[in-house]
Amino acid sequence: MSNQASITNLNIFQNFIFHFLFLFILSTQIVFTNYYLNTLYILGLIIFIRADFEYDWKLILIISFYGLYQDALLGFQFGYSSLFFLFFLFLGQISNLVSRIGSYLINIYFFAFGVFLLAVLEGIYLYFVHNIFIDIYKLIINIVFIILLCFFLKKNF
Amino acid sequence: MRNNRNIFFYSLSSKSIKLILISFLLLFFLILVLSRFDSSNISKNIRSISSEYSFYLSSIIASPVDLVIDGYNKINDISEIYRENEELKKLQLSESISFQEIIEMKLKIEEYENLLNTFDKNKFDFKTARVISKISNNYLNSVIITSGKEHGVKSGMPILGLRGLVGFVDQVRTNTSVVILLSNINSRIPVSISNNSYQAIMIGQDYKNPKIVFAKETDMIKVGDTISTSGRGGIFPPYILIGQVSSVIDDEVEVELFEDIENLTHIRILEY
Repeated sequence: MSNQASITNLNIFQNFIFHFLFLFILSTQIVFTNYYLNTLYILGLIIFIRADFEYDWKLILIISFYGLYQDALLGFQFGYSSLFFLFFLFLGQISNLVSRIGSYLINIYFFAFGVFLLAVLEGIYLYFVHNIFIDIYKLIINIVFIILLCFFLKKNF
Repeated sequence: MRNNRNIFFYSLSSKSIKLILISFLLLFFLILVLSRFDSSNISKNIRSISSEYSFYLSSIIASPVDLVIDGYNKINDISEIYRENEELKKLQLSESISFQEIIEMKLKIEEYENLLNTFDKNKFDFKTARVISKISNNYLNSVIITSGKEHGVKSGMPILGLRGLVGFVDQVRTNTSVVILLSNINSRIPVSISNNSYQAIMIGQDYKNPKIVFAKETDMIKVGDTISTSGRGGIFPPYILIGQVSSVIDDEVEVELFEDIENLTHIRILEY
C-alpha cells in the first residue's frame, strides 16, 4: 500500500517534529487567536509542505483524524477540517507533479490558488447562508501573510 | 532536496495512494454535507462527547503558550488597574453624583413595578463562571467556561457580563460549557430597539459589530438607540441590555455592544 522506496522519506525524528508541530499549533487555537493570523491556513501550509515528502495511507488517515479532532475542539461542522487538510495534501501533490519542469514558484502559485479558492468559497457560503459580507481587509492580510510564509519556507527548505 | 522530491514523484506509480486521497476527500465532503442537514442531532451528540476529551488534550499541549499569554495579560492588567485608579481618583466627585441618580432611578422603578404588580417577574438566579479559553476562528466566536452539567448548566441559557448580554450556552459538557458569543455568525437574538420597542433580530458578524435585520421601522431607528432583548420566542428574558445603535447607513443598522466580549474573564449564567 505504501509508496515505493524513496530517499525523500522523513525519518522518525522528522516525522515526530511534523506531528508535534501540527498538534501544537492546532491545540493553541483554544488559547491564542489573532486578527492577522489565520491558524487554519498555517496548518494547511504545513500539510502542503509535507506533501513534498513521501507519505502513505496512514498519513492520510492521521490527517483525517486531526481534522475531526479540530472539528470537535472548535465546533466546526464534522468533516470541514479534514476536507481542508486533505485538500492541501492533494494540492501539494499536484503542484509537485507540475513543478518537476519548473521552479518552486509554481508550488507557491498553486498554494496561493488554493488559499484564494477556499477564501472565495468561504465568502460565498457566508453571504448566501448567513447573509454576511466577508471582512476583505482581514482576509487580504491573512492571505498575503501566508503566501509570504510559503514563499520563505519553499525557498529555504 | 528538490531533486530527491522529483525522484519521489517519478516513483509515485502507486495509484492507490492518489485513489485513497481522493476517496477520503469525497468521504469528508459527504460527511460535511450530511452533518449540515443532520436533523437528528447525531453530529451534535458526538461532538458533545468528543469535544470534552479534545479540549483536555489541547489544554495540556497548549499549556506553555497559555502560561506565557496569562503572564502577559497579568502584567497588562496591573498597568490597567493603575491607570483606572488614577482616573477614578479624578472622577470621584462626579461618580458619586451619578451613583445617587442611579439609586434614585432604581427606587422609582421599584415603586412603579410594585404599582403595576410586575416586581418579581424578571428576577432570576445566576451563577458566576470563569472564562478559560476563547475560540475565534472562521466566524464561530465562542468561549469555554468553567461550568457544566454538574453545575446545572443547560443548553440555551443566557450569558451575561457586567454590562449586558454576551451570548448563550451551546454545548454543555461535564465541567465546562461552550458559549456562543453575540459576534458568532450563528447568533440570532430577538431584540427590542429604543423606547418604542421596535422588534427585530440581531445577528453576529464576527469582528464587525452585530447587525439588525427584519426591522420594519428602520427609518425610525437612530444612532444611540438602546438595544435590549425582546423576550420573544422565550429564548431570553426581556429587557436585558445588549448595546446601542452605532450606525445607520441605508437599511444597514449596526450595534455596538455594551460588553467588551473580546476580553471576557468572568461571566454570569442566567438560570432561565
